[in-house]
Amino acid sequence: MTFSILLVDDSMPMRRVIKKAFKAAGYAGSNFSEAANGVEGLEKLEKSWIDIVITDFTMPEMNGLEMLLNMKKSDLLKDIPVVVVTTEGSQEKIDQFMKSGAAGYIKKPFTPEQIRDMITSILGVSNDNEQSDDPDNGFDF
Amino acid sequence: MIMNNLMTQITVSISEVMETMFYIPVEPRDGNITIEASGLLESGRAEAATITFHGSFSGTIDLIIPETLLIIMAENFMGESRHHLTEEHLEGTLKETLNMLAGNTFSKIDNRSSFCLGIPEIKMSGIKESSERKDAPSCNTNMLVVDTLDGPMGIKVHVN
Repeated sequence: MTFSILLVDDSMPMRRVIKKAFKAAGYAGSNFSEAANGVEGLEKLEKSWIDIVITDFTMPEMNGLEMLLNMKKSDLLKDIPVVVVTTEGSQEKIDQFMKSGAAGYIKKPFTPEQIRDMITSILGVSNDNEQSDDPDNGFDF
Repeated sequence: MIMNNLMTQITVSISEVMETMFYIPVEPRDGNITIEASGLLESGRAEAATITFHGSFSGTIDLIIPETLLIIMAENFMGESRHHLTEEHLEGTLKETLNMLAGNTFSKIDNRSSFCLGIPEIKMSGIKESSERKDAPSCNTNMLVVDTLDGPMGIKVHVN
């Protein structure tokens, strides 16, 4: 099964790492869109169908929480699951994100297995038998 | 007291970040070391980034990594061969490492309090700027050096 996945992070290397973890988890055939902040993320969401959003918390222009709150105001976007991948040390901020309707969170540093488990629990499917043959998509990224 | 706790948690965090995200084990050196004594100045070109933090106490954390080690980290992090790495890859890897280090550190210091982290910034003059303050070890500034198989890296902490 393939999905449309939006990665929102101002760090290009981190977007690449998360994308690689998705591919390693068996979602290599999915369509990946990328945005560098919440404003760009909302623009992508309005223009194309997205199944799940993976977002950083702290970003310039619009952070992940503000983007989530904007999504919740939209009938078209409010049901799209949002997962925050964050370095934020404060549990208070994570709680705020979850209370605002996030589907889950992952703290950095993370293992690829944590990404895979989170995706599987939210999307409700396991793609273990669809692992890519591409050696670049292994977990040893 | 604050500095001692901060340095203890930074030491734990740099090991966790380097081993989890980069598969690079680190060995912290004992004691508070100056940049001049760290060996970082002998490693050729080095990159430095800084991040601010604000909470029950405030300050900055600088991360200084020789380019040779940073290239290896970026390769491991993104799975890119070194021939395809750009300056953006290297700077992004450095900033993300510092971001993870700071976030992980403050979650260990006080998981419930609200430490606000700034956005990591590259120090354009790299290691020079980090050494220009001539921070002799003091109660407000501390330097941790950790060794890897591919060279040392430095973490300079300043509490206001």
